[in-house]
Amino acid sequence: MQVQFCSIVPPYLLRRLAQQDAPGFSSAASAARKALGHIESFQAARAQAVPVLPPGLRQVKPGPVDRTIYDAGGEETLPGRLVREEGGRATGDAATDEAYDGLGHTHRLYADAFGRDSVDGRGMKLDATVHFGNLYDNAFWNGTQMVFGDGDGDVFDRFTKSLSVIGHELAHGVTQYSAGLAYRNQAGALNESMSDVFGALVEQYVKNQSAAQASWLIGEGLFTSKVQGQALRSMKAPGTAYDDDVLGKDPQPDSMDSYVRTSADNGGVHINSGIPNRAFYLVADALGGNAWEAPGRIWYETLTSGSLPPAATFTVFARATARAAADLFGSGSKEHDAVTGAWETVKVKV
Amino acid sequence: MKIKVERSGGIAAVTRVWTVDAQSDSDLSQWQPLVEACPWDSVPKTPRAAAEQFAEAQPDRFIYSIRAGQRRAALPEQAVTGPWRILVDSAREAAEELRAQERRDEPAPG
Repeated sequence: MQVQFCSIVPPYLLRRLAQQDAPGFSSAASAARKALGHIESFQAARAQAVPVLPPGLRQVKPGPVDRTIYDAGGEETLPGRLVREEGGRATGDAATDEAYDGLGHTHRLYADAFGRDSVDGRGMKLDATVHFGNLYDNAFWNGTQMVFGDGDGDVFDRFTKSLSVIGHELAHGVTQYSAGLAYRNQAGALNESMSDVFGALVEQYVKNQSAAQASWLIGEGLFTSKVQGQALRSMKAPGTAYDDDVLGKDPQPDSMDSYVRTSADNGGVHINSGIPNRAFYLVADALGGNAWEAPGRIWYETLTSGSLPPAATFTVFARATARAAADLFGSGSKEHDAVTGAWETVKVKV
Repeated sequence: MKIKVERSGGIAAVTRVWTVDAQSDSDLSQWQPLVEACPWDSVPKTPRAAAEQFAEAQPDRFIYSIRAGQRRAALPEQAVTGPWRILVDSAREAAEELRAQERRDEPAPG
């Protein structure tokens, strides 16, 4: 006899829920395990193969972080001299110790809030080089590690000073190992926005801040006192982070009405990221509580479910977040409404 | 000959511009060799062309747009090496020294 079985919660989600052991999920986890028991017996009866989970969904309990910090000594050769290993004592060098701590906080957010084991989801070592270059006013992810400059001392202080910057760079690695969003035009702005979102969430998680308490600033504290500006970017109010006679004004748009068409900056990836940044803030603001919970889960699910193409546009992404919200919380949920409302506010067609 | 280096991108995405105006004979004799040493014909001329050619962009790296007289080049930071690096670093140093000089020469407030 053929048994028709349809689970309202897709099996892949039940499996994820069943493996959650984070606080607050225990009743959901046990309900999911029960439901899976039902599904698995039906599936056995149908003798159908269980679908293979896409890489982002394979749930392994995250292991401990494994950090190594290197010092490039003002040169540009990577990785540089090893200065601090996992479990090693604080060195007293601010950049080294900030990078070490920041990597740990970022790893912890991904493990605790999303069940992700490091950047690649498989316990990858986290390496960072500090003191890169001479007066180097930047930080970046090079595909295998993070790199931090000391700033020029004129406009910028050292880049490890901001936890959101450390989280931002590591998040580029997470994107590389999941959706692989191309670093150009709208896909690139989404890539940048993902880094700002998860960078902000690391700061909020460490400070245990609600969406209402958070500053929603990226790179707060990086500017020297000479600069008229609070931060590199504001997710809450894109375009307001700085207004300085040397740097100019924060160029970020806060809606599609002021989308910037440019060939600079790989098609404005750091500029137009203001639009999806604001959308995330609006979801977090609408739902209240901690932004790494429902909003973070929706964004993380969107990034890692395997259905977001590398060349995603804002519209494709917005639709994917709405679908993720519906999958996680239901199509009539306040979470789904917050997501569709946010995209409407920033004028991205869903 | 005007030399202009424009740097965009980076995590801060602040565009910086460094300009050198090489007019005198001694200026030109200093800058001409640096400019001539660069392989202008082998590299993209615009940021858009650079983005297409160097498709494996590393996130948050800088992009350089370099002009010397009528010549143009656009390169990601990782490709600013050898003669390009010398030209960019020299232009930046000269422009910053000039700016510092201008600040020193400003009349004192009063």
